[in-house]
Amino acid sequence: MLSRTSLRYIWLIALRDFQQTLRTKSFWLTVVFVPLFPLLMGSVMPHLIHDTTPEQTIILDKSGTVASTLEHAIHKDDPTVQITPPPAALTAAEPDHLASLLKPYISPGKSVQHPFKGYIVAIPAAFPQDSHVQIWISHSPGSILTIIKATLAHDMRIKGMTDAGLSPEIAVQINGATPSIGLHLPEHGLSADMLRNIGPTALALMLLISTIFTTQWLLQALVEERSGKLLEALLSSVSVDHIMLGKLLAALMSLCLLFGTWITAGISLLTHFGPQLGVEPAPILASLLTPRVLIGAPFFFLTGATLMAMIAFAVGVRCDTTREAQGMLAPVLMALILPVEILLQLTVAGVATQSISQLRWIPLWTPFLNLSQLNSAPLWELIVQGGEMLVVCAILVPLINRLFRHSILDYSAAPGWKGMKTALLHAIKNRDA
Amino acid sequence: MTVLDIRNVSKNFGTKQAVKDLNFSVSPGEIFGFLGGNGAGKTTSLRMILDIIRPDTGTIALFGEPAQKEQHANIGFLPEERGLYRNMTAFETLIYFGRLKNLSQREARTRAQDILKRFGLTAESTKKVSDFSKGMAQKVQIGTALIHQPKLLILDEPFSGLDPINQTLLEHEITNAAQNGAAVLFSTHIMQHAERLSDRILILARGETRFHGTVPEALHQISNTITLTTRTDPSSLPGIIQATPVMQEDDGWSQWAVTLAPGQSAENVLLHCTQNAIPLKGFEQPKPSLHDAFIHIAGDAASPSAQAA
Repeated sequence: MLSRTSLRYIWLIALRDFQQTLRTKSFWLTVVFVPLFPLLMGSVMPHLIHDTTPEQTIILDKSGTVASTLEHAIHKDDPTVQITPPPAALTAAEPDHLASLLKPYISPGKSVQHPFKGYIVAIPAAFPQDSHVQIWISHSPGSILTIIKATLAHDMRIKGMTDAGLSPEIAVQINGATPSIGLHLPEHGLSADMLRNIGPTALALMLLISTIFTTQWLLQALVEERSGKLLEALLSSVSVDHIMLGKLLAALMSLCLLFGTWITAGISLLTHFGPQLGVEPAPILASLLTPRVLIGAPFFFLTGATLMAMIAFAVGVRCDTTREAQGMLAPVLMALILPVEILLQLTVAGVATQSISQLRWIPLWTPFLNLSQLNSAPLWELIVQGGEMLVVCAILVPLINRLFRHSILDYSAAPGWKGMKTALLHAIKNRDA
Repeated sequence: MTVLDIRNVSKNFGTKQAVKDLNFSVSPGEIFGFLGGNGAGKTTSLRMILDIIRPDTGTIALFGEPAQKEQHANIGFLPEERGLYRNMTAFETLIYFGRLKNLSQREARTRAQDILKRFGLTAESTKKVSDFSKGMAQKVQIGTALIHQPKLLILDEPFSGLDPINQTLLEHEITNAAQNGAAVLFSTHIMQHAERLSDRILILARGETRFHGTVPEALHQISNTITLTTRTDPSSLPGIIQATPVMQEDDGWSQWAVTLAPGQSAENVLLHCTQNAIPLKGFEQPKPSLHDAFIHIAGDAASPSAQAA
């Protein structure tokens, strides 16, 4: 149990470190820019990627029987589509030469003067007896392709049925026969899993981003004290434990400020702009107010932050320059960010739950993945994995404390992972420095 | 009551013995010089007193009780490796270290203002340390060790890297602290400061205590030497171990370097010469310095070859 004096020392160290972080421009840029980024992306990107080139359709109907039907069907589906009369060169071309003549239309930068966007439909002269219809498309197929296929199929079937002796009315009736299908979609258009996980996944993503920044600040503070030869002066007043706990508390304070600001900004943006963007805020907010999230989120938040802080301590206490420390931390962050980022996206998409379920047992990823799946993961798994995180922290904190004690004034220590391994082994073997 | 009492303290790092069987104590108002060459074990000893590292054997008592972290509020420490938070101002730095020594915010502010005034830094109090010259930063660092008016002031190589003005300032602060009742323990390998300031000294070499006592006692350790200018060989005089001719002068006069036997005084030699009509043209007794005493006492361990070993 910590004495009142110890708590005072821890608070003083934490407060100084926290104030130091607040004085950095990078902190405030991070606080402001991260919530602004999705807002900017959401409002600016659609304008940037909006393509004003009109979509065209060229119909080369050698049979002369279906062009008007097709035009009518396409305009009915999308009145903005331009039906462009075929150039004379295409009309006069032999069917075998069409492919080479049309290649420039769908391969950008070729001999066509203006950019072409749309469909070119070539219908053989003997249609519908010859059903070999060819379509060239300048981009990914859209709904027009379905319209073209349906219209031509309709035409072929009607002709076939009337040729077989049915009256045109009966043929139209048969061709138009479709079952009455009642379609039932989830409320708000999202699956139940997605609705349950979207809020907690946003929390996990925020925790991931905020811990990365906090780890960097903690690392900078540690390297500054080590390279600035400040530690010995500090240790004449306080213990290694006070320094470590003070710095951990300062990191948590920075993390809480970042996290709190982002959550507040996120909820405000969601409630103000969500409906305009077609995102219903109520189910997302409801997914954040479940008992599992209210209890589990602070727990995994704390254990995740502690885990990352321990990594920063292990690296920071061994490095004399920020560059050296960043070099050692980078692979750890990559091992954390890339898989977690992918797995969080899969969680939101509601796929790959089996693989995520297994990966949640890896302590480096447990807090983030569990945070994202608080509402959907089996409760027993969350409890056992919570226990696993407590065990990991219980092993890691004293071990890093020993490493910290051992390395804190050892300026002759070998840098890099090899030096870290030696120091860790020494720390495991020796309780006191 | 002694402020600091060290008994039979030893510390090994692996197979290397850093400190062996260290014993000394420091009383209130006393200035204690802790002398030794590089690698003698001074910093290790000071770190053990501050509980930064733990001794393998022996006991350390502070203010009459076994050493505990809580007592550190009464200790001021100036480390050999100097450093300050570059983004803090001088005023903030002093307050922060004062607060770590259990001063209240108000008390720390008042003391910080007083130190800045005393050190001539009032105008720079709101400047960041990163904008300070080296000398100004050193003054702030000294201030962090003094702000809480400690009962025990520990200074590790305090004069190294200081310019002459700051050396004088620090000497003044040390004597001032001792006059106000603080016990001062400082390590150094610059003998002039130790000779000028110390009431008692301890000479450490390769972790072992080679001498513990007052400066005059240390000086007494050196073999007494005198220089005689005479016409006869002085080696046969009573109480003389060795006499070596140094320089031949005119008319048969020669200068001799004479080593006296332990306990023999130069005055007795002079008396013997005058009583026995031994002609003397010159008689000099060079005053030994603590530097000479240190070389004599720790010479083998302080030599470059010994330090490299």
